[in-house]
Amino acid sequence: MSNPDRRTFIKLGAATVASSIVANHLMGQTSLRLHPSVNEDTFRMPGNTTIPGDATDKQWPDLQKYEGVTKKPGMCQLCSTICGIVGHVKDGRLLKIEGNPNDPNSRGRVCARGQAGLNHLYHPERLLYPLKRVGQRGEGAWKRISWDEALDEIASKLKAVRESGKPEEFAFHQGRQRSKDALKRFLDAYGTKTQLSHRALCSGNRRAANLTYLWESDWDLNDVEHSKYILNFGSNAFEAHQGHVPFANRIQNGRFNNGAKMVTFDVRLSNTAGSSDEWFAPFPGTDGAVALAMSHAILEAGMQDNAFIDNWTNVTVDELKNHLKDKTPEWAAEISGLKASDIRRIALEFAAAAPAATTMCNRGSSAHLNGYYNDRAIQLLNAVVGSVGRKGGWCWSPWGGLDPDVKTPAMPPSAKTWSVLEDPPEYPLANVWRRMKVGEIIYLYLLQGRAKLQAYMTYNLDSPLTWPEESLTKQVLQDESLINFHVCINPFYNETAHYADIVLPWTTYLERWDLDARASYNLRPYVGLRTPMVEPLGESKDVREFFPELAKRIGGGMEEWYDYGTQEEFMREWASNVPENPATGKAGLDRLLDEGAWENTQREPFYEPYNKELSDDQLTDATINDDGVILKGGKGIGLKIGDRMVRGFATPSRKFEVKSIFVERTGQNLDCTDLINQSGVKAKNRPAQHKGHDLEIDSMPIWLQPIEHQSLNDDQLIMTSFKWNVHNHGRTMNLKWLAEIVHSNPAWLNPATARKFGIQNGDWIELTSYHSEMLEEVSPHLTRTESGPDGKRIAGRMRVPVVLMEGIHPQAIAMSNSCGHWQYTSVATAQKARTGSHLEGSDGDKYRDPDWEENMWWQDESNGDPAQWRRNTGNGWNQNQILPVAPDPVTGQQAFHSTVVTLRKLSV
Amino acid sequence: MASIVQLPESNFSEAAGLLALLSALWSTEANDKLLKSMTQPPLATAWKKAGGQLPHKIEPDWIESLSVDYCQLLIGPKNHASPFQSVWDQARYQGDAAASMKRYVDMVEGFQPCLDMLDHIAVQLQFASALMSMADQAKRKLILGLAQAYARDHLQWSSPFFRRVRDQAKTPFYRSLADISHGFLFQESAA
Repeated sequence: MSNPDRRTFIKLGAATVASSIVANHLMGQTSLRLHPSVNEDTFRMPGNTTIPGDATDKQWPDLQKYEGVTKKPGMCQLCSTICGIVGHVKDGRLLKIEGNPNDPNSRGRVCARGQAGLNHLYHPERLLYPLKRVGQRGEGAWKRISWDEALDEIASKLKAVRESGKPEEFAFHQGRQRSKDALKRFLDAYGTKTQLSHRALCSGNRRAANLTYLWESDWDLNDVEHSKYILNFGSNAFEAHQGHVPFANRIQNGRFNNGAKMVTFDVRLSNTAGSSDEWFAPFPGTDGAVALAMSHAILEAGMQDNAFIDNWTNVTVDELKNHLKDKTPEWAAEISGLKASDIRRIALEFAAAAPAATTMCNRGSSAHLNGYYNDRAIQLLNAVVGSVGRKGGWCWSPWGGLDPDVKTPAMPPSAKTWSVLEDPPEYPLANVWRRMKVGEIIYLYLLQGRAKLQAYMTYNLDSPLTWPEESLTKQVLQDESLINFHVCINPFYNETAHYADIVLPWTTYLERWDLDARASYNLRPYVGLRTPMVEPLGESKDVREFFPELAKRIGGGMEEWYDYGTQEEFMREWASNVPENPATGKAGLDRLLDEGAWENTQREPFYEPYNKELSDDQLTDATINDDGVILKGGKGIGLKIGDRMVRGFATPSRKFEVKSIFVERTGQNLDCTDLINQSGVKAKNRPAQHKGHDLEIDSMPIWLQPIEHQSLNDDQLIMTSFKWNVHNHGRTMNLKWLAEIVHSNPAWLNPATARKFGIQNGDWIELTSYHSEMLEEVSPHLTRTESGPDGKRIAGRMRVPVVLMEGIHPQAIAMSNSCGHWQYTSVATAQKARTGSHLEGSDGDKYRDPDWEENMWWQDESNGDPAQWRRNTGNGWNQNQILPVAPDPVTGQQAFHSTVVTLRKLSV
Repeated sequence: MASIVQLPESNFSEAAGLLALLSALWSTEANDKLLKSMTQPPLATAWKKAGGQLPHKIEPDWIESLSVDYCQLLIGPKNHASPFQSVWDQARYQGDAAASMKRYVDMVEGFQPCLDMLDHIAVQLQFASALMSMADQAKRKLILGLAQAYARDHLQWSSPFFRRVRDQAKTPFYRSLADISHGFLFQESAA
């Protein structure tokens, strides 16, 4: 460094007096004076013990740190469960997060992720300002721009797309979102329906199976708190299931307070499986076969609920018996590897506990090429034993979100555009009831030229990490001819932001407004409030703040939908129907600000809704058709059972649809208007763009096995994935408290399998993955690479170490997701104090951060050399390097658990 | 120890001026208006004499390169030298340093921080400037005591920050700004 003397600096200081810079910077700040209360003791840091040495004016600890905190309600958003939280705020800083006991669903519980919200809010690498790319896309060179500059440029581009007459070429691609109204308002006002999501990467099959049976709900809410028997097919509810905190709490209440038995089928010994009374590891993807065999065993033993089947389903006991006659426990045993005696025993135990008995499932059974049929088969069990809608049984509610008494302020009419990205015609059940979309195909379809994007806006998304075929995602995101303009909205620079043209710093969930709720295990709706507990950091903004600004700049009528005042005024109007709490005298938003949540306890829990008598009013002018369906104005409203006029199910038959003519006809692109009318539900026929894309969908719960799974070679395994209890998929590995617990993901391999390959614990292997042979036949549009000499198409290769564990099926290999980031903060990439980091060159111990340097003990020092790698170091590997795009042909759900791989031991 | 409080009292107003200048230069990218002021005498002369770099003529490309350099130095999004004390002390935003800065700022009536996040080096320099400009007031001893405690609590950390900026800067302007800032705050003795 140069070394000017003090006199030089004083001269420089003197020269500033004549400069306008200083005057402008200080903004006429001339009348400064000490506050009258200041004295020498004021300089002392709060605390009660003087620190010795040259820091003697400092005292420790700060016993006043939590004095005078304000408690502010909010809702977590570090996973999909959105637990109610309370923030302890002092001097504009959030000091602590705890669960909100007023939240009726989460009941004051909050998991490790929720606690780590502080890491999220105050992460030292959070984005604070809008950024604009200055180099090539993906090069990582940026400059700060103002919000005005950013919004002007984005608006100019979006306006041009809108005026091109192809508004659908503006795609909004969201990750986890909890501001549905704000996004829908913007996109509908703009006029594009190309709103892409990750639902098909998550829960499409379970939802479609539920909708096939119920139509009115895609989400089963197993009443486990009142159960006697819980049959779990592949759900890891204690760690990562949607809604897992309230669900796990109620499962344990059911077990400890109600004596419920819990049996888990899972290829992997998850923490849920390990906490169950019994765990069985079936061959991957065979859950549906086991479930059908259980139904067979119950029918064989005569333990079925005849009354429920005859009155409330659209099949007879005899039809069911006939349908399942070959699905014996012995048949399932051969397929799954389980013992027939166990399948039969568990089935009969389940039937004996009914109706307080329920199945539960999630991605373990759903995220397969045959996932739709797996889940159809599993849900059938509840009908066979009559636990559907019963207390302690398999329940649901029609309220997937906010209490319907809380009305969203006037919204624009829905956009009417169509895009192959949003509604790919090859997947018949993806969008007929709800818009579940088929997210995993979008980059492939863009590459194939099946769609064009003039503008692409990503929101809370990390698709390069979380989407299958990492290399494909990166290739398309980088290619400006495929995605002309990319705006990324995110609180952090991540793998998606890396390929953006403009990055907008988004607020965290602790700095923004929402009314929010999810399907509650209390079986009735509620309303929760997300508030800005603290001011947004830096220049970060929520979409509720900048979408109105963007709309005004785009104009053309968009701005008319934002004439609602401030965000708080908007929330106040939205919450205006929340009634007064007599104890506090507060209503509406004031009540929510006070309590954080409101549940209308006057509503009855949604037990046996099908058995509710219709009122005289409802029956006025109603007619009854030959099937006993009660219709009014051409729409189904109920069912005649004997002499009773009851609500029934919201299906075309008004019964629990074990047999679904609708899915069969929908698969063939046939008109279903009559069925839709009879259901009374807003379902849709497939649009004209789907013509020619027919698929045979069985009307009954069946089970099939992908051809490539039917006879695995000795060197083949099936890869499965899982989530940890401290992570979500792509957004938590940057949180130090969580990354310290789990930061890496060696592959789980059964010791018996390892012996076969000569592999020992800690050895490195090379995995080679293959595209599905089943999909080559059923979905040839996915094929884009040449086959190898053996006729197989390789999807990818990666090298990972293995950890040997009995808790994995011998023909499976497991890797967790969440790991393997390469752009998402120092913590997520497990890098501490490396050359070029902010600690380089610091002065001795005083300004060296022990948390970063010493406690970030998992930095990988191997420089990529497997021989030097130490266990439990590094940030792991992205499994999506080798998982191919693999949608279930029925619904489009990504089959994350069906990929066939081979492995080879590496010499290191 | 940051040495500004060891200056002769007769130099306090010049010190306040220089601290304000440094605060302005660290608070945002060097823009056209600011740079044009910098090139005016006597500031331009004094700046250059102190080792400061400036071009002969302010060109748009030069301003653009400064913006990009400021971003990679102080904003990121990756591998930057964070200008926030809390990041250096506790590897987080809004840490104890931010709380402590609020306590200090609340002690001076009329002070308007140039940025919302108070532990940003620009606010810290601005507040130091404010204290130096107040040092001729009636409570001189109290203010000097306050300045001394403040310099220890909120300027001392910046030594490695300035060094890091200097090492990572790609433009002579920011390299020299880091040098001047470090030199002024951490020089060992008076000339």
